[in-house]
Amino acid sequence: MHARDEEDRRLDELLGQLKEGPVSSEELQGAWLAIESGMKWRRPMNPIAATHPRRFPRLVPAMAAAAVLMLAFVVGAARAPVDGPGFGDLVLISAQDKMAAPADAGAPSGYVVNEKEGRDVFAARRGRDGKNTAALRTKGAKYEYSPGGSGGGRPGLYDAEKANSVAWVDTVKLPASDPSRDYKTITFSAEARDGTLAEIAEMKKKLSSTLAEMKKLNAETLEVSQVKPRLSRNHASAAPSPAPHVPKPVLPPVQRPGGRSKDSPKTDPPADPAAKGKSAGPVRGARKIIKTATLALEIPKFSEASRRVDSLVAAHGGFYADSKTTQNDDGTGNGYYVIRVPQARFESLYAELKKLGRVKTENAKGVDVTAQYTDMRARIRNLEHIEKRLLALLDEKKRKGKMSEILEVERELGKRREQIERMQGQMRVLVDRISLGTIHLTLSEPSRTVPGASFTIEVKDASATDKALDPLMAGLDGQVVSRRVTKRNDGTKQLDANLKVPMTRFGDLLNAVKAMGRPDKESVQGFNPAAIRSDPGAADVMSTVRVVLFEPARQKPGGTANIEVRTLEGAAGAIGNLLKQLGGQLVSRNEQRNGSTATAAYQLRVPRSKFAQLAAAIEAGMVGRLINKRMTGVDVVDVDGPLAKVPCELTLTVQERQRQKPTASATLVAADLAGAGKAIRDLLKTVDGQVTSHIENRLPGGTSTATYQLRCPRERFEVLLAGLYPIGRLENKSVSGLDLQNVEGAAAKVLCTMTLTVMERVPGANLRVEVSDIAEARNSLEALVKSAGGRTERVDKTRRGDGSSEQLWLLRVPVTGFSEFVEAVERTGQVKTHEVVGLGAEARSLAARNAYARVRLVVYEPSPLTAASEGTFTGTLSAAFKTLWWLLAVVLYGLIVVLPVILILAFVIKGLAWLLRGRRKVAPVAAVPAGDAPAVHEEHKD
Amino acid sequence: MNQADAELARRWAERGDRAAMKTLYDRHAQKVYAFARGMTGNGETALEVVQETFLRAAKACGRFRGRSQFSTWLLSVARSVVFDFGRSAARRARDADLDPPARNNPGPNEDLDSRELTESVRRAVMRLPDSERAAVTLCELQELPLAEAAAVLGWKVGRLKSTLFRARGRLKQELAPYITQGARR
Repeated sequence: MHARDEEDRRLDELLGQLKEGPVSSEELQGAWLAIESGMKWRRPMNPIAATHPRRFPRLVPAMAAAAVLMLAFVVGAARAPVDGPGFGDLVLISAQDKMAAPADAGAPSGYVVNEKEGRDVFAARRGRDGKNTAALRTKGAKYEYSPGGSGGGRPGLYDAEKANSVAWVDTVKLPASDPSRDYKTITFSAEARDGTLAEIAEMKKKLSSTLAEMKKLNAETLEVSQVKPRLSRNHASAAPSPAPHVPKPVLPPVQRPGGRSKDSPKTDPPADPAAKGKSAGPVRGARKIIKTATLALEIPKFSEASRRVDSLVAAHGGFYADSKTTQNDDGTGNGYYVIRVPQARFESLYAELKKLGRVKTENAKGVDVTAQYTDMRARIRNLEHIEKRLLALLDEKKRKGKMSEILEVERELGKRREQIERMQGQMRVLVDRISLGTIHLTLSEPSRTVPGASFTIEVKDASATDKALDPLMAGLDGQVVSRRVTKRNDGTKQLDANLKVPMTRFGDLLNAVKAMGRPDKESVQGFNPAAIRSDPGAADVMSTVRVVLFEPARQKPGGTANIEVRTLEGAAGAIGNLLKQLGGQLVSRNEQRNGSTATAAYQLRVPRSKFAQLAAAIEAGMVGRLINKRMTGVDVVDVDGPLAKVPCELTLTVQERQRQKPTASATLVAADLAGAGKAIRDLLKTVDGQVTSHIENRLPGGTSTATYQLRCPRERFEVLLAGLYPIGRLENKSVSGLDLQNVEGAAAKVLCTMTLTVMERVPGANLRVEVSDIAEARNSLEALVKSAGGRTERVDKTRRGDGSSEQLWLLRVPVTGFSEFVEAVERTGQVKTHEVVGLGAEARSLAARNAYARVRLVVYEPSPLTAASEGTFTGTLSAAFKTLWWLLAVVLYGLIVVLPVILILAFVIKGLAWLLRGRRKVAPVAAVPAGDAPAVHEEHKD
Repeated sequence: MNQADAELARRWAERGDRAAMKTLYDRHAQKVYAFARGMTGNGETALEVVQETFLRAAKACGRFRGRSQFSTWLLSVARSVVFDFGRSAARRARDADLDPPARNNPGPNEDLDSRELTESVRRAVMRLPDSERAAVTLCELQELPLAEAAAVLGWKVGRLKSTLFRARGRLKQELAPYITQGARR
């Protein structure tokens, strides 16, 4: 918001600059003259005419008058009477010279010629198209023609005798009298105040006499090419007659009829325009001219010329308003000076300066500001006059006036004073510019060609050449401006140097440089020994030579090799020894192990002189078996000097021989899974292994298994496999890639894996033993169980009728004593059934240490009979009798016990049947004849 | 005063009283000149406009009824003269006389900067469209009251205000460097 206000305020300020003071009353008076004359032709409309404009009837006389006027001009001019009556108001004013034009294009230009009369007003303005219009109203003044001064005054007719009428001149251009100006044609129009024939005739005479006077005053040809009545614009356009519009020569050219201004002969150019200006003096006092000049000189030696200018300026009483000097790289100098010098000494100084050297450009001009000066002075005087009157008025008002009036007068007075001071200030500036002329002087020395060169030279030893450079340059009065030594990759050197020597020694330097070695490239610019010899200032100017000295490049040896070794460690030792011998160094070592492969990349660096030895050692298998190699730039001959120390690099890739990694799988049968697990863990401890997975399945009533993934270092893998045997009974085993010889190095630490399945098989026995005396057997069995460390879980006893008896024993016996126990039990009687499991290795294994075997034992004592007869004839016979006896006993048992029961039952059934029969006789249904049956049925019906 | 203007105009219209016209000219020529100068940007043309305006006014004086101020009526005549002079004349004037002051004339030129600034402002004003320039000339340079300026242009006050606002905006844009420079100062 604030910013916007600020912008508005600023815009108002800017627009305020366009607000102008009132236009000078003279100008307006001039305009009024035109209006007044124009009004003749345009009478005001009466109210009726306003509503019903009648243009043509009113205009016709005017047009006719204009036409007649033109005709009269033509006729009158043709006769051109020299001694006509004095014309009244006529001004001829030249086309305004550019230099005479006030610099301020926007301000109205014009000046009062004769202000004494008060009423005589001259106003001249420069038109848009370079034409001038002017008006003069005068009384009793006399016109004089002035061709203008040397500074560009306005040529024209400057005086009048008498008369009170007005004439207009559009444009007057005079024949070229001064080549610097371009006055070529005279064009003017005139207009009489009244359109009467008498006045037109009078006008004609005036014009003629004007021209005659002009001719008298100026010996040159004066030519009037066009006369156009200055009717008002509207009037002219409304005129039906074309006559006034047709430009035609009004007065015949005096020396060349019909000649246009351009062709007018430029005779008698004035010998001295200034003198002329003085002689023709309508403008009183000296002309006010602002003199400026621009001068550019080429001088042989700047310093001398500069001193000379100083003395000249001082001698002419001038001073420097500005000065600037420059010293160039080629030793030449130039300068720019703005010199202010008193007007009177301007020309002489200018002429002196021109003598200093060859003039490249020059331009001198004088701007005639007489008009501006006079105008300003007149205005000041006028304002002072008004001020005086206002002062008088103020005195008067002070005596007998109102306060407001006094204040009003004082305000006016203040305004006038301000105007006076402002104008006086401008006047002072103008006077300064008039009194001191300005010369813009440029001095330049012709430029000099400084030779230059650049060389690229191959040398054997750049360092040595570098050392030799300083004494060389000292001998040539030169210097090494810059030097830069670059060491290249292959150990050679390059020297870049900038050398400077005086131009006179340039040739010597060229020769010296070329002698340094084999030139590879060379370029020399602007070297002209003859010109240098003839140039006296050459010894002070330095020229530059750029040299690049390089040693020839040599390819640096290098290479790669690929080697197989038994172990990386061994290879590292070998490489270390090798480097120690050759004075090399290990730049980098990058080892990588990936499963069974192991590689190491070595970057080896040895001096160039030792590289060949290194390559040979590797080829000879000092590190390992060479698989492949690639060597570049290996020196065949010995190198010496600094080159021998250039470090060269070899990339060596060492890989261990590849071996199959052993793996194994095995199945163990153990008496106890827990025991087996413990034994496996103990085993792994000894081989530095680990269990990577362990899955155990215990099935109710079935076989329990455990699956282990085991891992141990390669070097202990065999131990691991061997250690499995004591754990249980090895049921199967499969091994691949088992190392037959010792593995060393990192490979020995590679972890190898095996899968181990442990199946639990608890030892047990199912025994049936016939004993003769079961009681005795029982005692011995109890003793056996006790001695074996087992326990009895259950005992079932059975005694049969035939005298036999049987006992079922369920026992738990430590596996360690299991087989002995079974043997002992079997010794107690005759073994009838023998089913034993787990009596193999598993029973002796580590896993079985705390395990118990299950024993199911049936001990029985057969019946004595069976026991006695068994196997003999008599025994068989007695068995047969026994059988018969038993049969008889059964029959008897049946006859005695079963038969009576049957009989009794039969009687009972019989009795019941009888009872049932007896009841049927009471109701003899069966006696009724078949035919009566319906009657019975009828009885029942009732 | 206004009555007197109307009376003078009547005297001229009816009797062709030249002194009356001269009085009117003396009273109002400055105002017309200032307007014309503002519109054409050139003193030369402005004087021509003044001449033409008074010539036209002299011819059409009978139509002046005294309903407005004479000066307002005269300015409206001047406006039509300026517009009649046409864009061509105005443009010629702009191109010919509004060129920056020649710089190839070395020598002390103390007031060059301020003159250049004035010229820039004048050029900016001259670049405005006719209607906006007329509004700026009347209201900003001549500082006429809005109502009077509107009467001169034959517009309503609202239109004048909006035109003026637009013109100021355009000027601010054109003269931005000077405005910011001034603001910095």
